[in-house]
Amino acid sequence: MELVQFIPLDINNALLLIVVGFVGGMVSGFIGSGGAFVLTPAMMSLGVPGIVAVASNMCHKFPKALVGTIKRHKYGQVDLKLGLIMGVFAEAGVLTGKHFMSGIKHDFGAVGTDLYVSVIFIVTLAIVGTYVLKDYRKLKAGGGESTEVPKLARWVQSVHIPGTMVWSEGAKAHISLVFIAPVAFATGMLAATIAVGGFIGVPAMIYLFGLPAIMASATELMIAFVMGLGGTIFYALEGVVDVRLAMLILLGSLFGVQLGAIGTTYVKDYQVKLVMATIMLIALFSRFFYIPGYLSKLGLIEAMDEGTLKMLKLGGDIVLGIALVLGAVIVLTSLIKGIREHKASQIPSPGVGMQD
Amino acid sequence: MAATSSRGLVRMLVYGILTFVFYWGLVTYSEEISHLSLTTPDTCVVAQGPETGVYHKPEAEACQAKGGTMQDGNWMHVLAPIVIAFVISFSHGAFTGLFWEVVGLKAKK
Repeated sequence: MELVQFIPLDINNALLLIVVGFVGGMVSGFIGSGGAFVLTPAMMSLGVPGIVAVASNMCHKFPKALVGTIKRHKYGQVDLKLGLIMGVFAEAGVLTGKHFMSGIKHDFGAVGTDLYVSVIFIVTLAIVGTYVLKDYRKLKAGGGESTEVPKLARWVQSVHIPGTMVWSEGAKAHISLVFIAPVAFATGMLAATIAVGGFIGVPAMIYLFGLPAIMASATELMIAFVMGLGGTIFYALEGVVDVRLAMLILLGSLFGVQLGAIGTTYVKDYQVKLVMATIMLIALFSRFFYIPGYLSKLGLIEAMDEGTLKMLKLGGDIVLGIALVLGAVIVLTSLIKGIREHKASQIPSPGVGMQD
Repeated sequence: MAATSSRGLVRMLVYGILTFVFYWGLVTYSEEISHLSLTTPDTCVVAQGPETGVYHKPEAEACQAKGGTMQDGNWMHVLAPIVIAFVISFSHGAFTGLFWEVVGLKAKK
């Protein structure tokens, strides 16, 4: 038997969740990706078990993803057919990922899921963070985003396997299910593990399938909705979705996400990439502080005393706090500075005014 | 122009009040909502002082030893988080969108 507890909803926890949601939302609106990569570890820092944090995050994301899909579909940015097909395979990935997570919870308890989520977080954020940092350097050096179809995508589009070809409106090409299915499955697996599937889905759609970046991120929203809804149902059947947490995170994040999205229109592309990489790498670093505690509780290393565990947890909380505060400060200062500069540029000089 | 902004303000207030009511309900019925979620699968429910302990993957003997009651799960409880998430997201999403509009913060064109 496993005792399952949701954290008490006292005023301190509620306020912290709202603030974390606000900052996480602001960062996610600014960098254009789901904020779960800061929200999931932040929830875990508040004492929420890994499996409940992931499940509740999926629950907070899917209605937002639906609204985003509808909005961006109006601008013609969503590849509906590809999104739907990927959604189906991603759902299989979510189911498998959830099954795996439940197995860990059953065999090792909630601490087992904490360790599992943390390790996958570190690996994923290290890969994605490093890649984004490289992208930042390229963009800053004046490389710019290439509009050409990547070489790998051209090869994928050239592979013709009868009976498996799917027309992608976004890529303007046929793509075989042989490529679509594993990518979508992996996206779902990652979503069910750390609540962020877009780290696989978006780059794969750009570099493997040849979709323009704007269509890839819009189509990912549709996949995120399908995965989020499915994930919420699967995890809710296990009784681990804490909708109170999800909604308190949402309370802050809906304000933050719009502020962050407005902020991006006032800054340069490479600045956004730098913020993304910095926050990812700091959030990654914070997880290292918690791992000894998990290993100790699982009996995988020598038992550590309470004082040391508390100090390590405090260290992790501080590092994660730095990531969140840094994210908030960068977004807000960019927004304020950008608005000032924009307003200054809008004031016509006296001479120009006379001519009008 | 003034009519449009006052209409925006009224809509923002309506959605704001609606959102406030939903969140008030969420906090007020926090215990009941948690219990509903936790008891979606089969459980062993144990009264622990003023609180209730909910055990998943229950075993009849272990449950009895703890003085708990075996309870059959109800898959219909899955609807609770989904409906709550949809309703609050819709109302709160509309409110925040109108809020930033009324505040006058817009994306650079």
